[in-house]
Amino acid sequence: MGDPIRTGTTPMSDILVAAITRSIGLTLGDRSGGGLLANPVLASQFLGATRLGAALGTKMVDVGWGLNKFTATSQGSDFTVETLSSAAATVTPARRGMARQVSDMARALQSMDELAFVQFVTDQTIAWQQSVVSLIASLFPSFSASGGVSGGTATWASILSAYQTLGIANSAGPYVLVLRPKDWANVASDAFALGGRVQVMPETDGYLNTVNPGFKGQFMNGNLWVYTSSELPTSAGDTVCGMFGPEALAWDAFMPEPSPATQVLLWTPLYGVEINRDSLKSEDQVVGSTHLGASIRQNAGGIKLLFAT
Amino acid sequence: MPIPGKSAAPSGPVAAPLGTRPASSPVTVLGGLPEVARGAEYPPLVETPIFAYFADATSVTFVDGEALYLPIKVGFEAGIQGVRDGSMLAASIEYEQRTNRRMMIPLDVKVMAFGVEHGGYVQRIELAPDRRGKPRHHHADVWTRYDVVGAEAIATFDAEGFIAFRRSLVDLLGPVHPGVIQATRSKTLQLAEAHRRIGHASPGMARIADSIEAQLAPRT
Repeated sequence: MGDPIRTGTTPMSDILVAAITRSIGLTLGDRSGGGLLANPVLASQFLGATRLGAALGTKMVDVGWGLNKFTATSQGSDFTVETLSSAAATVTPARRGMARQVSDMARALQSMDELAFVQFVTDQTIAWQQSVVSLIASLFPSFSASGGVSGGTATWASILSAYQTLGIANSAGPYVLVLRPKDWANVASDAFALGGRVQVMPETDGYLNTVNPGFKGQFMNGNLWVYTSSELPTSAGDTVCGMFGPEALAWDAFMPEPSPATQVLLWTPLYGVEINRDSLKSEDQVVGSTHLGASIRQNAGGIKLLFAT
Repeated sequence: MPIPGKSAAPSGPVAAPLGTRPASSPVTVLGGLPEVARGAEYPPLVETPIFAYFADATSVTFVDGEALYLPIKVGFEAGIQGVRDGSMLAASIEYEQRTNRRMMIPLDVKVMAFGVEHGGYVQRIELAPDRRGKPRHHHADVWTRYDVVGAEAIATFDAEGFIAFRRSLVDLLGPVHPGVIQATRSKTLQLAEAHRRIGHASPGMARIADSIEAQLAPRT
């Protein structure tokens, strides 16, 4: 009774079996996106609808205030006229989404509301969060600064080295580090081998993992937030992890008001989940969609870390 | 011989029991299990966007004492770095070329991978279509080979082939600048030293430091 795995053995449409398989996958899957997006650094990189100029995207111009100094100039000579430097980056949101089909048969045969529509809302919400993280992570290879050890394993020393690189580049922090669970396991192994621990807060670790999967804690006096995620790109035998400050990236997501013709399950300014009924097939399509874009804003504010895949 | 105490069996034709009929359809004795129709098999890989490698005059690492350009992989997907719907890649390419001063390596450049010549460095692998038949693809470089073993895709990377590709980037960018070589060497030594410092002379960290430093020396 009440065992969602056992439910999959009862005769029903394949959608239910697929959904249950998926739910098992959700249990074991990477759900770190939500926690990562709640980080203040990523929140500060969100542009928001008010910054979204036209449908083609938002062009952000960063002006190089404070990059020049007064220079000694002799009497009768002109002061040096400095060029006010600037850098522009464009965030162009593009349409993204996914759908699931669920038949009436499947819903009729469910035993414990595993196919309740609210579950689809959760499913689509996680999908949106993971999509944002995936989009942001896909920018890591373009960071000019490079750290880690290509073909090697992650170590605390290589993370600190990357941390120093961002400091040398005048990125004030705080920084976010996103790496794979495998990489963090290697770092933790280092710490154990050295007679220490990656962070001493045993009382709270369990709670952290439950409510904020992927969040591994704050380090370096709170200036380095560490997350694990499986949404990282690979390149030539390496996985490309990333560490970045607030100025490094910009991203945006938006949804217009829902169409009056739709049946809304969940609607937010960032993404929406709606139902499309196909009566001839006696099934529904649950559709989640958004408009999403991300770009590098200040390349020097981020560093990629290469570790063996 | 009739059984004593029982009546004798009828000697004429015996009527079949009600509902019993002789088999009229062909019967085949099976020597094994019948063939089960199988659809196309697809590797269990995730969908990834198309990409290109960019050569950057400052992106260099040492391999066996040789300073080689390390190309930068840039994925093209709508929403990333200004790429618009409809595969308008111009914004992303312009960002790499103008802002980062990188050069796109043509996708049709001839390369060797696993001892075979290819007319490009990006391979497209067909994945299982979605529930409505929409095609999906995994893009990888040709130096990555996938073998499906059981339910897993095992990736093998042709490091030697990729190193040869890296070596060929001199044709695009010219020799690595001595200043870049010096800076890369210095960065590598610093990283090795950081492992020794943080390791407090632990054997594990010393080994990692040695392996990092070994990049600077020719293979013996």
